[in-house]
Amino acid sequence: MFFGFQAWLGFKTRRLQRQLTNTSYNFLFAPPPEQEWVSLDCETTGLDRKKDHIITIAAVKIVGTKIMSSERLNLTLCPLTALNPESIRIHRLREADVQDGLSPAEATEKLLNFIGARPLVGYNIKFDQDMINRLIQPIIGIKLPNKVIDVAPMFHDFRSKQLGQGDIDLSFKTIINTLNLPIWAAHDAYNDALMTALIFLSLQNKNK
Amino acid sequence: MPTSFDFNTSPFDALTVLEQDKIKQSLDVAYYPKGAEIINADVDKNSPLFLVIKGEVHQFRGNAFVSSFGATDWFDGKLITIGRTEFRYVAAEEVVAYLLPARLIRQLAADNSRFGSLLFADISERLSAAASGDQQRELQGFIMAKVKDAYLRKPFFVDGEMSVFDATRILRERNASHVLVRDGELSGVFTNTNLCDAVLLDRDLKAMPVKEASRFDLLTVDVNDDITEALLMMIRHRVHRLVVTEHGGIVGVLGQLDLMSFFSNHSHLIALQIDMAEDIVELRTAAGQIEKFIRTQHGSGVKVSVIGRMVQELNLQIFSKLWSLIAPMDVQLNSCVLVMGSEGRGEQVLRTDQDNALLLRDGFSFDGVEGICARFNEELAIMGYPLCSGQMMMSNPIWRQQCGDFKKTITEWVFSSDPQAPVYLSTFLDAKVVSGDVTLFEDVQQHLIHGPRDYAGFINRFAQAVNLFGDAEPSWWRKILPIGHTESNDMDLKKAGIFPIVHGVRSLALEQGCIETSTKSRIESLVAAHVLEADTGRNLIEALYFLLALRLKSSLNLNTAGGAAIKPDDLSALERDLLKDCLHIAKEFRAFVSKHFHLNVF
Repeated sequence: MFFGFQAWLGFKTRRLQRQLTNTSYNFLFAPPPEQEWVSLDCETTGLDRKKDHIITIAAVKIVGTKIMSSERLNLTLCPLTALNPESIRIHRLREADVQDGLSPAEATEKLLNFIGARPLVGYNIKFDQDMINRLIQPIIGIKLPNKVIDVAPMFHDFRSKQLGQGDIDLSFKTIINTLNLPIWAAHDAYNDALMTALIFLSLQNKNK
Repeated sequence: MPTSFDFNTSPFDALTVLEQDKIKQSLDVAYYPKGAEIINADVDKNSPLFLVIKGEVHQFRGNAFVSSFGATDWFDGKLITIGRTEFRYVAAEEVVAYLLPARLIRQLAADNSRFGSLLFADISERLSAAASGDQQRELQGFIMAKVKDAYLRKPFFVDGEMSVFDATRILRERNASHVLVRDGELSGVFTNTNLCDAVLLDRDLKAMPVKEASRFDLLTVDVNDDITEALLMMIRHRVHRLVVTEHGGIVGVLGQLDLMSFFSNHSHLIALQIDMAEDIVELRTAAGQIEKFIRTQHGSGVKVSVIGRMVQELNLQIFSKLWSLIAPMDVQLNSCVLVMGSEGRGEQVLRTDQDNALLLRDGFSFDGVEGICARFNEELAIMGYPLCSGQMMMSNPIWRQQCGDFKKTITEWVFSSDPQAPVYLSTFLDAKVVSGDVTLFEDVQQHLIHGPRDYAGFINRFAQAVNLFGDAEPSWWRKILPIGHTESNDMDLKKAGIFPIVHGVRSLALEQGCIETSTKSRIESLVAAHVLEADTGRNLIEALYFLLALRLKSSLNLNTAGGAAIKPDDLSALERDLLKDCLHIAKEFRAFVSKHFHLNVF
């Protein structure tokens, strides 16, 4: 290594910034506000990162120990391909419901302005990240530069400290129940984002 | 299990769908680790209202623990009303809570009078719960309170010739929702509502005089009017403010929020709701408030005897109102509705079965009266007063007779050897008039107390019942002293203590020909007649109310109405000691009654 990690990070950031085709998104590279995160969850037509599409994106800000659900973001996108019946069964979003959804450009603008440079929190966030990158890259030239935090490995660390090594069930339901957190029954992107935010706050406190 | 915000709890159930939506849109969620301070004394009036989703919150005054809050509880009302609080709130375990913006809550309370009333009633109740004051005195104070005792806003006048535009600017500058308007001799008021109306007229607001947009038919109250009168007026006319006058001149404005924050007892609001109910549906809503009221009162340490009286009063109002909604005027005038049993004695804190009767004037009959009575019983059942399994209700022809026939029935019971007869008589002895012609009841009551009887035989048979459960309950001592057994050792307080006291006193009172119905007042008149020692009387009253309180406590915990089963393990050591004493008092009294009526010779 010829230079330190910080320098490398600065270099990478500058390179990304050069690739950013739309300079109005420069704020993505500003220093994020202290003690703020955005919890995020997408509903998709399926689990294939190459073929499937995002139907809804829900995001909610976390400030300190508060979840600002009053300023939540709930985006419904235009279906680019016909919804598959399998996913309708899970999300109960029929084509009629997403008919007047947003175009990829509109959704990108709303999403990026909402999250800014804040770190993103999610459950298996990698998947949501890839899906969002596929949506925004054609539009702004780069992938999401935000730091991401996945609550599943956070939970794994917490449980393995408690139980020692072994198989740890990382299903969303188990995590919520183990941490004794309230459940918002309706299965939609917004409620999942809200519960993910609670998991994050709870584990952050426990892993201190 | 919380899903989204639960609007089924008071006061939120009073909100319209649109208002609920406003709340949904502006909720935040907060997470507090164990031990975190949620509110401390240096909060400001913009602190939100907290509604617990999960976990437990402890309320402290300084370092002294006051009370605890769990799921669906909310706090701190004082912040909403006066913007300060002396309490600290600490997460006793991990807490997840909704945050409701204070400004929105104040706004909704101002817009929706029912929500406002319930919210402030809840708040004032908690304040009195946390304040160690004499509840009764507060209650009295409230009934006696005059308009001048509430917070009155100073009147602010503008000239009627001023333009609507300028008047609106004054509203904004003063951050007020109204301004008084003077037009020569006349006084009017210009409010936000009037402004909306003026805008819709589509005139030039800079040229339109404010007097043309104002109301001059002012609703006024005098500073010496009762505060309840002011509240009734607001509800009746659906207005948010009243102009207050003194000697005919305007001295201030009484706003709804200010009036509500003056309230100090929920029972008034319920009474008011009952009074204002225009149909059965509204009455049901009011009836639904009673149990919650009992819980909060009990939680704030109000004596059971006091709660019992207030609840009896409310229940009587419910019955009376319901009767007036169901029965035709002709029937109302020629009959008398009674509640009996513990409800009649006023010793009924949580609802047990309804016991009621209808006395009809001699010679009066009405086609379809049985249908009316059946409906009365059914409606009460819907409101949470379960039907009486023993059929002691007005829907049963025996409890719905003309006075003359009913007297004959009573005489039959007096001479009957049917074991049920004393039960019927006891029930009727404890009757209280709900509505209708009182003289009908007094006539029948006199007949029972002074009517024909084979004296000794009857009264002894009547008193016999004190020993009904006596020996069925083996030694209680073993039950109260925990000897580490695991099998459920519930004991029935009613059988072991309450019934022997109530019935023993009832028998003695009947013998004395006393017409009191509550056990407490019967004991007092027995002491006055030297049938009982003053000490014995005092002990009996205390024991009875302690047992009733224990019963109330257990049924509140059980969430059931009649829950009389007590698990000695759930009691504190002090409560166990007291219970032992009380049961002992009941046993001694039973022995006294048995001796008095020579029951052991039977």
